[in-house]
Amino acid sequence: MLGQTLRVGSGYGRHEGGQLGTVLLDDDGPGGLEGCAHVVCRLGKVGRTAVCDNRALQRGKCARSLTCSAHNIFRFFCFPRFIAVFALNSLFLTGNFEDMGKTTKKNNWRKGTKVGDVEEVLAKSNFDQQAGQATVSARSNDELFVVDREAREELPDPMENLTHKKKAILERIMKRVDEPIPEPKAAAKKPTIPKAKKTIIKRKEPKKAEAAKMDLWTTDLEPKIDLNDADGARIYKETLKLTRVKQPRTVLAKPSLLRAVALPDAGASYNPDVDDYSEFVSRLVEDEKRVIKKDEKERRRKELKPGQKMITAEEYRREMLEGLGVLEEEKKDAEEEPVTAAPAAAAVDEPMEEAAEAGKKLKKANKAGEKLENEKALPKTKKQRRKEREQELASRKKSKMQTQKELEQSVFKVKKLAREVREEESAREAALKIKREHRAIAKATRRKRHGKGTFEDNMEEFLLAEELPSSMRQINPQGCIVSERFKSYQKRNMIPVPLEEAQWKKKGRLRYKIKEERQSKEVRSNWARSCVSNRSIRSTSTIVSR
Amino acid sequence: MDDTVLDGERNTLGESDRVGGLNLPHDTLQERSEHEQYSPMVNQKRKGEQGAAVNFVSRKKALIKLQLSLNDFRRLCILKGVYPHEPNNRKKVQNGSSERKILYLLKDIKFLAQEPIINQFRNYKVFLRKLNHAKAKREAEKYTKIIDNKPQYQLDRIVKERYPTFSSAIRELDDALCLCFVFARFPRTKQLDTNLINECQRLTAEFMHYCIEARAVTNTFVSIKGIYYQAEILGEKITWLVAHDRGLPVVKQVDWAVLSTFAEFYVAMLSFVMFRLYQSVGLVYPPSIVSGEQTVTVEGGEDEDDEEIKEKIYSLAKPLLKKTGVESFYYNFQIDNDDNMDNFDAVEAEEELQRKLNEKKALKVLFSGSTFWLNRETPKESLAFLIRSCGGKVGWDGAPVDIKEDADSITYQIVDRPMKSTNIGRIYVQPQFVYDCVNARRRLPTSLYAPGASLPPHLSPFHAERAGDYVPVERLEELRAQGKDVTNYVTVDHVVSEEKKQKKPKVVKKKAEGLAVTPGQMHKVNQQRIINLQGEANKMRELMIPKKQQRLYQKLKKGLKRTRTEVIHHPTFLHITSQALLSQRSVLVWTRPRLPQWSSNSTLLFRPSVVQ
Repeated sequence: MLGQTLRVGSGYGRHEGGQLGTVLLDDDGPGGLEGCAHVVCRLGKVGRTAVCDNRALQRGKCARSLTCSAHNIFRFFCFPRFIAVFALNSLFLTGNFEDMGKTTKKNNWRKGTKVGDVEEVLAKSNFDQQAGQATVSARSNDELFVVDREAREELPDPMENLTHKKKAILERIMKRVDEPIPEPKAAAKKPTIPKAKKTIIKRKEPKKAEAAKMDLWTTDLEPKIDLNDADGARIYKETLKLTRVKQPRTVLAKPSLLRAVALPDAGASYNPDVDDYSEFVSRLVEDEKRVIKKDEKERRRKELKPGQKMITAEEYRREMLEGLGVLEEEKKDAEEEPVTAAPAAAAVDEPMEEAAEAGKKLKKANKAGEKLENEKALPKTKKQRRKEREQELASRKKSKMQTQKELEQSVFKVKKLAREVREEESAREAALKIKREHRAIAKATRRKRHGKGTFEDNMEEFLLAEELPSSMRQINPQGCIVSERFKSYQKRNMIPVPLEEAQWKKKGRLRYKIKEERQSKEVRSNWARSCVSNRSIRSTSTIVSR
Repeated sequence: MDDTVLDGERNTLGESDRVGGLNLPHDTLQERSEHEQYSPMVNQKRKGEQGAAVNFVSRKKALIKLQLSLNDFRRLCILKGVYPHEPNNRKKVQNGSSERKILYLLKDIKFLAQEPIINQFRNYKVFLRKLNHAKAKREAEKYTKIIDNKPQYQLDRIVKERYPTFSSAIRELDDALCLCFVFARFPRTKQLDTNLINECQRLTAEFMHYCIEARAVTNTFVSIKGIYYQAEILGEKITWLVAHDRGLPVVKQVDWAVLSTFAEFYVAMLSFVMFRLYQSVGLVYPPSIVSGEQTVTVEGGEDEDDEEIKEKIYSLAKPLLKKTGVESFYYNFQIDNDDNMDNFDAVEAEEELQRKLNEKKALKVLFSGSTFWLNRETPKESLAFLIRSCGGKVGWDGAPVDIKEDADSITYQIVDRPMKSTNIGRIYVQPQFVYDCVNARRRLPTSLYAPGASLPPHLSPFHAERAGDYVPVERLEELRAQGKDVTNYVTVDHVVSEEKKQKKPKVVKKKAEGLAVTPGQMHKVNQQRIINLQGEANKMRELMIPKKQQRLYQKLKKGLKRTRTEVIHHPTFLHITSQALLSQRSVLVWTRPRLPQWSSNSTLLFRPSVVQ
């Protein structure tokens, strides 16, 4: 690698905005860096630096010395138009940072640089090489390394002009550089990049809930306050928010009187009695029938009745255009054209007209008959009218007398009437009581409508007669007790019913889905079809041959 | 866990959160319209400012008021037992909209607002944030420190608040037990808190131990869904359902967050209930057993030894350690059936009571003195629970007891497969034997339950017999064996025909031979009958009157009738009759007809009973 120019890949830095470049020293080259415990990087004639900016370079001053191992990554702040020269004592590695920004032309990147120093050093190295002082191994440590003991106060802090972020990055690099250098194990082994250590954080076990150690109902849980100090107590209470709103009665009220655990039907036994079972199953069947009937009704409601048909587009158009004069115009246009279908229509209409006429005649005849009857009825005479009046008066009087008499007679019935009233009242009261009870029970056990979803109860579990187990070992449990619990809470109005079940579905879990491409599908179906047709052909052919 | 909204307020929710976040002091519950603020008539109430409209709050508003996320709110509601309410008229509450909103009572929300647990919820949020921060920065020390100071809350105060008395907590055991038994069955996965599942397992086992010691089990029923148990604890009937020992099916349509919050609360409640129940029967709490010469107690360790101990304690095979001086008084039970029946034959009610008491006692010592061996493939937990709560001893392969399979002390072996070799010294029965015996309160004939035999039907103990209902023959026999009068339960045509047959042969009176004196009977004249006969005779005679005179006769009759009524209404006559009739009480009834009395308690004093 002596005197070799190392072309440093500029790609490392480019994506970071052209400011930070990473240089990997590859020691695969001739001579390599083996045996070098420390590598002092030198820049130019005077300084030794790995970190510099182009201003420092221009001034020919080093910013800071840096010791690093051969395995390490060299990180640089790189700028456009920057050429770095590394000196491994007499070995020179010249890193040529390609222009990372806008300009790629040679002229431009030479513009602000002083290449003279570099050239001088290079020339010296050439001289050294010629003088036979080539190999590193031939030299002593003292010759190879320089211990830098001088404090260079005059030098400005290179960190001064850096942003916080850059400083942080630099510091991190420094830290890593300061780490002890691992012993190179085998010469042949490629140096690996040590990974940043992962801090393994062992999670502490959460505190375990312990068995209760007190009788809750005999211990006083109210916090104790020294009530002698009234002000103190008040402030204490206020600050700790111990003054409490009284518990509303509604909190202790049960939202529903339904049982927490619905008692099972006798027919749901794993080994049921025949009658219990048939009763249970027939009840379920009835329920199912009801559902089917409801569905059927719904279906029929949507169906067209005989004689009805769906409206066509044309009919719809006509209906919409009715009265706008458009249709009339169209009709006129149609009439102007030679009519062919008209006579046939007329032929159809004829019998209808005949029937209508016959009907009219019949009506006329009826009217005539009525008239005749009316002619027969003569106006009433005065006598008749008087008699009618008298009769009416008499009957009215009679009925009045009758009611009066009944009223008077009812005096004797008072006992009976009172009893009747009493009985009626008590019956009504009893009925009312029952009705109120029913209503109260219904209200207390009704599922209220909380939330926008529709509540669907679990289907009642059952086994078919042939599925019933012959022993407990063979029980195949039906239903899900978890969802039953959940539904029970909903049924008892303790939690609302959500809108959709889709909301519980797991989000963000990737699933494989095998999807057949359309093309391959088509190919396959074609193939299948061809197979089928072939077979049919074959079969027909066999028949023929027979 | 899925954090999505339970109902349809998803769209509006984010908005509400934002509003809540921005306007902290803004109290939306007491919002006033602009119009009202500037109107001179301050006292005027407008629509939506009084009555139901003010008493109810939508969930969205409640969230803003409490400054909680929806999840935290749901959690808080479950822990505090605050449930949504439905108004009588939705439109009045929701400003004219009939949308199905979730509404809460304002009072309840105000009550929730003062709950100190809310602060802990907020602290938890901060805790999570800090934790994430430390984790991202890889600051291990800080991380552990934060975890050590994880905010935790106690539910003891809330438990006491919701169940002010111990008996009220007992009444709520149904729900708690059911859910805990469900949770105890869950596998330990990431989805649910393992600690919660462990707690549920511990508490359910403790409860079963209590039932065993108190001999509280009364009924059991093996259904296709699971096994139902019923126990009587402090006079309350507690029913719970335990799933069969099989894998859980795929669970759908369940919000795990909601269920685990319920479970969390019930665990807190149950732990306090257990403490008290254990005290009541003189058991040491936390439960411990005597193994060898030392007592072993569970003390929250995680060593392998501790796990073993736990298994031993919670296996239901061994009796728990009792406090010194407490005798197991149930073993001394004797059924004093015969002695007492003589004393109580007089009063039927007392007899019934005595019969019930005896029945209870009989159940408590049903299996005492016998030892059961449970074969493979039998539901061990369930059988051990029932047998031990009826006084028996249980052993199975691997149980922490001294009983071996070939021991002579074993009286019953429960088998669920036909056996190859049998031991003459014991009786082999199928598991249903135990369940049926518990329900029947007596030892049923074992021949019915022999291995391989087709079993008699397993009947439900929850089916109460009423006269007229159909009662299966097996149950009738059972009832008969208990000494009950069965005739009422038997279907009508079945019994009545028998009775008729029996009644038919009449006792034919033998005529006394020779001279004999027989007691005579008083002859009673039925006055009504005489009147009726007279009336009939009159009618006959009327019929005999020729048509000419019949009309005359009718007129006469009418006239008579008329005169009679007229005379009564004549003032003088009325006076006379009233004088005459005043001596009789019936007059009073006429003059002041008694009004139907409206009972003073006509308002409904109805306390609806629990209905299934």
